[in-house]
Amino acid sequence: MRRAVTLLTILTCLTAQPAQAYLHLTSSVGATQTPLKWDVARVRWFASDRGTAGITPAQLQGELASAFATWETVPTASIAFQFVGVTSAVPFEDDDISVLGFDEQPDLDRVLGATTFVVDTITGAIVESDVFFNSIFTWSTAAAGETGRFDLRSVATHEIGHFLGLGHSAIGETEIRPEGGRRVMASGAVMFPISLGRGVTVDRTLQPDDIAGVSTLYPDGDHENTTGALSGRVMRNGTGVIGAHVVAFNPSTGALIGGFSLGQGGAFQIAGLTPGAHVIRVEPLDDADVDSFFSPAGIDVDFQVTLHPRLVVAPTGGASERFDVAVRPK
Amino acid sequence: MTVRASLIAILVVLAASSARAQGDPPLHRLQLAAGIGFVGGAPLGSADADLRSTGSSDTYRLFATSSRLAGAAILDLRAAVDLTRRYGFEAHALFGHPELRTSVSGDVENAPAVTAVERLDHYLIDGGIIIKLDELRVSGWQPFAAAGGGYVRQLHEGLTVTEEGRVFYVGAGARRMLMSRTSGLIRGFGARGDVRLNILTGGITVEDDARRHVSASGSLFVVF
Repeated sequence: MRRAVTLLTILTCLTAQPAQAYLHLTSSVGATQTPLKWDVARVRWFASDRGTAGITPAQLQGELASAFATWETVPTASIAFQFVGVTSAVPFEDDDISVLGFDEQPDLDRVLGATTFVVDTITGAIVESDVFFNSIFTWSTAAAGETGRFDLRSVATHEIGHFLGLGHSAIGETEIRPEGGRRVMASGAVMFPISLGRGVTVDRTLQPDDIAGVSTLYPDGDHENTTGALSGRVMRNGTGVIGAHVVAFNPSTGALIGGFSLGQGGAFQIAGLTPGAHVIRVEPLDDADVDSFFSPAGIDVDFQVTLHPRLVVAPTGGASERFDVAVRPK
Repeated sequence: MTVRASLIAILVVLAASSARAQGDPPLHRLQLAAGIGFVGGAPLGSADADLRSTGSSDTYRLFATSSRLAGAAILDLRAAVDLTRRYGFEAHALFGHPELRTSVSGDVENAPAVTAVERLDHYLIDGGIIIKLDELRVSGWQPFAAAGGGYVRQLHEGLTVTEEGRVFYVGAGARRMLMSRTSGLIRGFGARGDVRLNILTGGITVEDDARRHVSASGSLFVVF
């Protein structure tokens, strides 16, 4: 029995949201939290037949196909997609087809795009996911980007990350604007929640955090046997810190991959790492509203950014012994 | 410690026999040596934790790292044979337990700088030629030059991740027979000192460049 439930709406914002390193969305099946993911070998999708200023429906379809291909060609992930056709259906309708397209949402004046899901409440699998791009903004499909316009493929790549079940990444830096809101200065993941701005196309290319996220959710071949994980706890004065952002940096590869101490007692695990030694950095999620990402209850941001004084080794095909990162109050 | 104890026992046995201090190890006889020493550290390279900024080529540094393999005490084992009066061959194994040290600094949010460490297991197995330099002999010590190549194996802490590489070396040293005899299983013993310049490629590193480690060791050897 399938019951259609719109479970989540994931937003991509113009102004800062709090960030997460790669995080898998979950749904509740009974008392269990199940990773939100597709349970089919090939996910079927439709493109909306609506264009917007400067973008034809054919261009929309082409950019979406390129964005899907970006995720499909991750060598360590097994997800695949099939373009079914163009439809007059609009995103966010509960119609058993996954539709991606433009829609005008003037009330969401800081939202470039959003993704919704319909989930099988028995298995927790995604059965439908829609993505909309807000046509109150101006968009571009130019190969090198276009000044004053948002790059459609970059935003589509981000939203398709959600479409797959990925949450936001916190690998990025923002600053508060004097006039209010936040400005993103840099990001280390396509799944960072804030756009780098008009004319920027760098989010067409997945980063290690994105690749680890999708590969852990849809592992292909030997991925789990050839990568490693780090397991630890974030502790302050002997008590676990909930909601800390933990980043693992591999100096040999330059990869930054993150996670969160959302487990009991401040526990975290970061999987999909290249085996070897990692530098560990822990920071509070204090760049924006925590509740944009997960329930703020119990999320602790009262500690200093900390670099762990030990290199921690991600073993091949397994997880490290649990280690504690001690942080100090602000 | 076990090796050192065995060597002492052998020396006692030899001292009790009719031994004499002289000459060089006889040709075509196996020489086994064990010793201790030190291998110097070497920089492994720098890597910044970079984020992407607004331009495709612009980066934004989250923090900077610089890694180094620290110096460490080593255990040295050798098996050698003098093939001619000028040339010999030796196989060599080295074990050390150096620290991998990564200095992390320049954090964008002013996290205090740290040096993150882990302890490695470092193995090196190599082989090469020895060129004996009799004309430079001083006080019974026979100088030699050495060169060769081999294999490096490094294990991260926990012994779950292995990195492999290659080593090429040039070196020099001197050796001296302390006692020898013309019959019996053990034909003598002596001492030697070695200094090497090891060029390592691969193994645990940040940048792919070859790196230089100097090592020095002193050994006692037994001739069979």
